[in-house]
Formats: sequence, structure tokens, C-alpha cells
Amino acid sequence: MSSTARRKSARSLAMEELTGWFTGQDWAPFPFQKKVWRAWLAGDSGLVHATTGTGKTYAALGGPLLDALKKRQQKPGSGKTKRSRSRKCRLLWLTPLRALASDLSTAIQRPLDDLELDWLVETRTGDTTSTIRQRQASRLPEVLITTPESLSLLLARKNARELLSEVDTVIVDEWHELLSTKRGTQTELALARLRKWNEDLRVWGLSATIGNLSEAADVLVGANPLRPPQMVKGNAHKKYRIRSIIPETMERFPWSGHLGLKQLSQLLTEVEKGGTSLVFTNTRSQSELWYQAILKQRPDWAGTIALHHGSIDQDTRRWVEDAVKKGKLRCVVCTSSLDLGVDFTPVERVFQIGSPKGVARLMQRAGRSGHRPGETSEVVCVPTNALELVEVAAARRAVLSGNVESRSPQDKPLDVLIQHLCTIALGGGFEKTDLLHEVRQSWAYRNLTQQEFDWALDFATTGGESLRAYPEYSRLETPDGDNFALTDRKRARQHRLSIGTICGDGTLTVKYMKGARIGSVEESFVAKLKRGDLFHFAGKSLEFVSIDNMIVHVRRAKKTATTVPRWMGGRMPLSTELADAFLQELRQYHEGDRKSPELKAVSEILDLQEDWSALPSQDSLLIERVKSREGHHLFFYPFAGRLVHEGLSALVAHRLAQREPISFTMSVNDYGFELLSPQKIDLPDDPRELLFRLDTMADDIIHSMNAAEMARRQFRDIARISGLVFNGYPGQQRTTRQLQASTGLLFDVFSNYDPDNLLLHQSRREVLEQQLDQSRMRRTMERLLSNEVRIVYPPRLTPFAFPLFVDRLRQKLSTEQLKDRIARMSLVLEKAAS
Amino acid sequence: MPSSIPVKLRDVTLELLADRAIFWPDQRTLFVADLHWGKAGTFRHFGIPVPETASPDLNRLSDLISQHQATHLVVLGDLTHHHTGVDPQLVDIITRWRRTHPQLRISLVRGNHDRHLKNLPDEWQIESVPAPVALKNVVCQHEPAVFSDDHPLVLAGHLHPRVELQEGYTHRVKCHGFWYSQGCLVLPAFSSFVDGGIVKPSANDRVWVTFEDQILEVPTRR
Repeated sequence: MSSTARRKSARSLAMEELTGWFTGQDWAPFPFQKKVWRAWLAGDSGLVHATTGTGKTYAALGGPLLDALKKRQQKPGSGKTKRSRSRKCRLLWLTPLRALASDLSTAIQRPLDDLELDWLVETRTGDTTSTIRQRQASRLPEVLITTPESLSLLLARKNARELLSEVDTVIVDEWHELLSTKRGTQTELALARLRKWNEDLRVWGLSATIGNLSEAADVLVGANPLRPPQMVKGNAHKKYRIRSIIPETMERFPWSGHLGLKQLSQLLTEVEKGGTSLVFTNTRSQSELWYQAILKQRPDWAGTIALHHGSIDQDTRRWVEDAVKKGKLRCVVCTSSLDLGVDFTPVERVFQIGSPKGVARLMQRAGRSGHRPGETSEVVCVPTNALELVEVAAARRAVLSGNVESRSPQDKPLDVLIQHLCTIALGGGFEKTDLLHEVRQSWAYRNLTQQEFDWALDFATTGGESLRAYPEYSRLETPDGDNFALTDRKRARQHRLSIGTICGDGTLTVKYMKGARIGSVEESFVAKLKRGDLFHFAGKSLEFVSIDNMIVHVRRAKKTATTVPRWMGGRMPLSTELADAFLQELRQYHEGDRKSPELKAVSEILDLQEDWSALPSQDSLLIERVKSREGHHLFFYPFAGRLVHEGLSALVAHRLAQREPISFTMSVNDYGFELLSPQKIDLPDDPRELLFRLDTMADDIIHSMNAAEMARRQFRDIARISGLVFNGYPGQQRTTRQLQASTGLLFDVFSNYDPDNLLLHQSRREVLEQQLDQSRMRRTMERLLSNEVRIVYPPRLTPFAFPLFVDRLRQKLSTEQLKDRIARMSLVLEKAAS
Repeated sequence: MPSSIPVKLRDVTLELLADRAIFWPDQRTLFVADLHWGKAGTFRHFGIPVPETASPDLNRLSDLISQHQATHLVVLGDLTHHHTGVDPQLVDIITRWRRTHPQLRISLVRGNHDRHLKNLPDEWQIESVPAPVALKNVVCQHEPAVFSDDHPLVLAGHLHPRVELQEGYTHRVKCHGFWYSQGCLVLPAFSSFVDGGIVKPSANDRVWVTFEDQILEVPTRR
């Protein structure tokens, strides 16, 4: 060794080694990667935000690597001997998707091998084999890649502290995906615990671009960080290209609809250009339909096209992902199940069928092509109706201006807290003041009151107020009222099985008669099936045979099926950012700027709208009144997304119906809503104060929205997370038969016999805040109050009104008594056998 | 909407009550099905905190008994839910309730859940018999079935039937109800802590829905 080298510090030698490794790969570390490494070495935590495929993984890994290299420089030869004895987990890598774990593992292993660092990298997820699990029970590898649920399960082990106390770094991958969910809250609680064991813990989040990055960083480091979080922006200037398939003839292009199959042949032409194409749809049913349609047009593609969505069996999905990675597929029809993660370098083209709904989402999907740093990401949008063309133009505008949606973290959900209390009670127990202090270090629970904490603890322990008469009941044991533990083996097992806040509720496994798993569908769909019914699922035509023990037995159908299962959920509203951009497009059009190809294509329709009525705009509220054979229609266009419109339409209907008994049917979409009534509605010239006043808003929503019923549905997840529902042990149906109660029923029982239960309050709050997006609704109403109102009487249904008119998904609101209405309703009968 | 509806089925005149029970005036007999006593206790036994629903259910039952001056109560199966839930507190609650109706005869026509509890506590003074049981021209059993036209009327439970009512295009309301199909009248579950299975009646059936304290027949044909 030369004398110069010896004088160099161990740190700069380590840096040379690591940079050398990059050079060996024909890369050079990006400045932002080096910035993260330096911050890590300085002991900082923080957030790296960049688009996928820009080197975030090595930005996060670099710090710990440098540290290990440095230590080796200082103590050459160390770590080689008796390594397995002294093995302790140093680095936890959390990922929201277990499918990403193996890819990550490979990426992390590479520099370790090349640099001859003696670290073990392992994964621990729901897929990990029991042998590895067993070994990990007493010793974890230096680098552990896991999910939030699996981390909670580790915390529920008696020796959790021993296993994890030397973790000095946690990387939270795809943090934007977790941030606004209860899994994010679960992650926060786990971090608070790890931080308690090691106050120098460094936490780094990797995130795509979102609107509230600094909040995202705050959540990650908790309520009282020792050092403020660092924000590092990854390689900027990711280029996006967003274009659309414009229909050849606009006359035949529908004003409404959401299937878009009319554009199929144009899409196929694009796919034929070669490489792998991803075709994103908004719903699982739509992906099934498109897959069938493509296969019908191009039967020779069988084997090179695939279907990928969340209800398809895991193994099949993994096979598809693998085939995409190897470039073996021509085309994959998929849903948000492929939004995340897995490096898909061979993907050449990305298509978006229907509304992109949000700016970030479209960018994420576009980012699946041009995955290598520096490449342009392109997405081709396939509008399914005329107005969606405007949405594409709007999305392009928003992407260019960088107006991306925010994701709000959860605010102290008590169900997650109750689950966490049980987890910690199981993982060695706790003292209550200690734990309150620890929990309050997390961002989500920073404002948790003593009362709320006591209530949650009481509920977890004795079942709360309503079970006072049953002193023998207890879940947690407490010898002295201060210390808590869970040692009962049966309860412990039950709790471990129910850890996990993502709830696959009421889904049934679909299997062939011979036993092979195909995937899962929701109970509500199966309930409608009769023996012999045919349906499309997982790209196959299937015949329903029977259902027992939560398993749907099917066989391959000889004829082609006609129905597709409908899955619940996943109906995202148009984001504020995209809605605003939409209105800006309309304004520019109105002002004569018609450059974009999409607006050019829909000009006839927009002109018609202006001719018969007016274009909706940001600073005036357009109300259209039309009379048809069905009755009197009122159309409103606030452009606030379907969630807000659902709440707003019910609120407006409620306020109108307060003045006289009247029934309305409401219909909503992302642009506006419709109220339809049999008699003429008396509307003042300036209805703003009547319809949009804010003072009684919360009350009126609760009265108008059937909020009780919504809270009842929301209770489903809460009951599951807080341990009120037990799904049973895998493979043992019978033992849990006695414990069957729907969460709706539990909600009713608690409402009647324990009305002060805070979990009920939580479900009502979640309905208002999450389902109805009350804060966006309030902002919308504030805007509408200050807007001028334009009431017009178009000669017939306008292009904006038509989709609302034909949308049959209507809600009803009535100030007539339900018993009077029941007399008018008709019974849902068994379909006559055909 | 009334709170009870008289019906004549296979020559038996009965009153269907909104409170999910049937009164047979001729015999001063009250029929209920699926009480599922101790269900909440079973949940507690397995570590799931659920408040007890027995007392309010018993109060409803007492009201019906005194209102109609019934002398005989027939339970069409599933009196108890599971032996794990029949804890001392529950036994005590029921015993005290039983003492308030000393003259009342109570019969249980056993259902599938009743097999879990071998013997009912003596203090309850409930005679337990296997299904089916004939009372005059009415047959009582737990599980519904299909019967020929000359068979006497059968009363059953087990299904906890609920029906869906359609309003407008897709708006649906689910209600507990009585369902009469091919000689068998199925009662709604009396317990307030059970779910209902959705049944889809066919065009020759009859259906009465209960809603709060009211009952109404819904036509199955239009």
C-alpha cells in the first residue's frame, strides 16, 4: 500500500471503493445519490423523491454500504470470522408489495457480492418459506426486506427487541403508496418502536412525486425528530409524452360510456409496432373485457398476451410479471396492480384506457415505459368518450406544470392503535405510560389524548364499558393495571392471523373442479350466479358449478361467457388538479386557443355545448334545467370529482326537499351531478345561499347521505383491524362457524348497546373525511358561494348533461316516509329459469 | 302500515307480527324462531368483545306474550347459539325472565344450533323436542322444505330470511320478512344479533316485510 493511500481517511477510501463499483457497472453515481449518502453518514433521515427507474435504490443503499466499507478499512479482516454468531439485522427495507421483494433482493445483493461485503440479504414476507422463517426467528440477516405487516408480526415476537434493536437504518420504499393508508399508520407505529430502541435510527423514504412531499417526510421521521428530515430531489427532467388515440370519425364517437372498445383497432395497430405494451384500465372488469376483445381480434396472439389484476392468483400474476421482465409478452392488459415497482425495462408502450383520473397516476403509469434514466416516458391515452379527450389534454397540461396530487396521512385511527396494543402486548408486553409516550412519537398519534389512549387500552383489555358486567372477559392481561401482556396461546395465534390492515373482505377463492386456483372474486358477484352460469374471469371463460367453504368451483366453459364479475371499490374520483386543468382547457378553448389535437377533435361537441348552454367554468356555476319524459332535470357542474358530487348532490337535494316533500333521484359523475324529480323544482334566481351555505353542512350531510348506512359499511375495515372479526384459522372452517357475524351486524349491535364506542365515531369520521372528502367538499362550496350562477334552459340534453342522464347508477333521496316508499317498491325476485 | 297482519294459509288463521313473531289466536300460541341466546357470549369466549343483546330481546318477547296473552310459546329452533356462550350470567338472566312468566308453556323444536347444548338448564322450564312437531293442523320444524298441496301448514325458521326491495334503478333496501313458499312459512330470526340470508322469492310465493314496528305484504307479481 502506498503512503498516500495510508494517509487517506477510511471514509474516503470507502467512497472510492463504492464509486469504483459504480464505474465497474459503467455508471457514475448521480449527484443526488451522493447527497443521500453524505446525509446518511451525517446521521440524517429524510425523503428521496424521484420517478421510478432513476436510481433511488442505490441512493438509499449507499450510506450503509459506505459505513460497512469504512469499518472494513479500519479493521481489515473483521467480520469474516464467526460471522453467523454475531449476525444482527442492520438494515430494514420496507416495501408495500411483496412482489417487489425478490427484485430488490437481487439489486441489493449485487454490490455486496462485488465488494465482498459479508452481509446476508433475505426477504420476509407472506411468501417466505417456513424454513427460512424458522431460522429468522432467532437471528435476522443484516439486510431484511419485508412488508409493514411482516414487520408488525416481528414486533409481536417475544424476542422482538433482541432481533431488531441494532437496526440503524429503515428504508421505506414507495412511501407515497403507504402514506395515506392505514398500512402507513402501521409503519409509523413500528418506526416509533424501533426509534425507541435505537434513537439514532435513520429512516429514509423513497417516493414518487406527490403534492405534499414535506409532509410525507415529516410523517416518516415522527412527531419529535432529533434532526429535521432532509429532502433530496432525484434526477429531475424526466420527460413525459402524453398523446391520445383520436377516433377517426367523431360523429360516431359516443358522448358517454366507459368501455372504449370502439378504439380497439387503432390500439392494436399501435401494439403491433413491437416491444411489450402495457394496457392500463381503471377497473378489473374493464381489463377482462379488453383482454377478451383483443384476443377475439387477434386470436394468433394467444400466449403472448396476458391479463393482470388484483383478483388473479398470485402465482399467475408473478408469472406474468416475470414474462414481462424477460420481454416475452407482446401485451398485458392490467389495472393498478402493475402501477408499482417491478422494473419493466422491456416495456415499450403504455396505454391508458379511459380517464386517467389523476395526474400522479398517469405519470406513474407513463413511467412504466422508458424505465432507464434519461429516457422519455410515453403514455398513449385511449379515451372512451368525447369528454375524456379533454381530460387527456388537461392531464398533459397538469404534468407539464407539475401540478401533482397530495396524499394525506391518516389521523390517529383507533382501530390500528388497538391492533398495535395487542401486537406489543404479545411482543414482550408494555407499561402503559411508556407506550403512550412511544405512540405519541409517531406523526399519526402525536395528538392522541390520554382519554383516547385509555379507551383503546380498555377496549383491548376488557372490552370496554359495555362489557363491565363480564369481568371474566379479557384479551390483554394486566396484573396491576399498569403493565399489559398477551400470553394466552389461542388469543395470540388469533391476533397474529389478523395482523395486517389491508382487508380482502368477503372474497372467495375461485378454483377449478380439479383444484387449481385461479383467483378470487367478491361474494356479491357470486351470490348472483346460478349453477351453469358462464362468466369471464382471469381471461378465461368459466362455468359456475358450486360454492362451498368460501371456494367457488368452476370448470372451463364450452361456450363463450357473457358476463364479467364486477368488483367493488377502486372507483377513484377525478383529482382536483386534473379537474382544474380540465376547466382551464375549456377556458382556453372558449378564448379561441384550439391548438391541442384533442380539443380540435371535440370542437363540434364543445361548440354544441356553448350553443345550447355554456361551457362550465372555474368562476361561474352552470345550472341547466331540462324537462323530459322522465321529469324535471337539474344539472350542476362543479367539477369537484365524483365523491364530492355524491355528497353535494345529496346535500342540495336535501336542502331543496326541506321546503316541500319531494323525491329526487340523483346521478353523479366527475364533472357534475343531476337531480331528477317528478314535479317542477322551485329554484330561486340566486340559489347559492340556499344550496351551498356552510353553517349546517355537517348536519345536513349526515341527514341527507344516509351517512349511517355508509358508516356501517366503513365499519367493515375497522372491525377487522381492531380484532372484532376473526376470519378463522387457515384450513379450519368449522371451528369458527360460531363466530360468524357480518361487520354490519356488529355495527348495529354496538350502535344499540354501546353507542359511545369510539370505533363507531371513527367510522363516521372516516365516512365524512375519506369517503365524502368533506374538506374538498367544503372548499368546493366556498368556491360556489363566491361564484356567479348561470341558470340556462337548453332545448335538449347537452353533451355534458347526457352522460349524467344515461348513467343508471342513481341514488335516491326523499323526504317522504320510508314506509310509504316501501309500498311502492318492488321485490327482487328469482329470475325465471330460461 | 299496521303492526300485524292476519293471514289464512292452508286453512289456518294466523297473525304475522312486525316484531318477527307469529300469533295463533285459536291456540293462544306464539311462534318465534332463531333466538340464538348466548351468541354474544360465544364471541366473548373467543376473545371478541361484543355487548350482550339478550335482555332487550327478552323484553320484546315479554311484551309480545303479555300483549297477546299467549299461553304457549313455541321456539322453532336455534334457541341457543353455542354452549360456549351460555355462561352463568346468561343462565341467570334467562332464569329471572322465566320466573316472570310462570304460567307460560315453552316448547323448543330443536334446530341445528341446539345440538351444541346437550341439556337446557332445568330452571328455564323449557321442553325440548326434536323436529317435526304437529300442533293441531300446524307442523313446526326448524329447517324449511317444500311440501305437497295436501300437506298441513309448516312453520319454520333457520334461514333468517331477508328480501331485497328495489326502488328506482339500482337502489335496494333489505328487510327482514316472512316468506311463504310451497306450504312452508319461514319466520324471520327473532334475535337482534344475527344476519339474514337474502332470499329471492319466486312469483307464486308470498312475502311480508317488517320495518321498524310495521309489517306489510309485498306483492310478488306486478
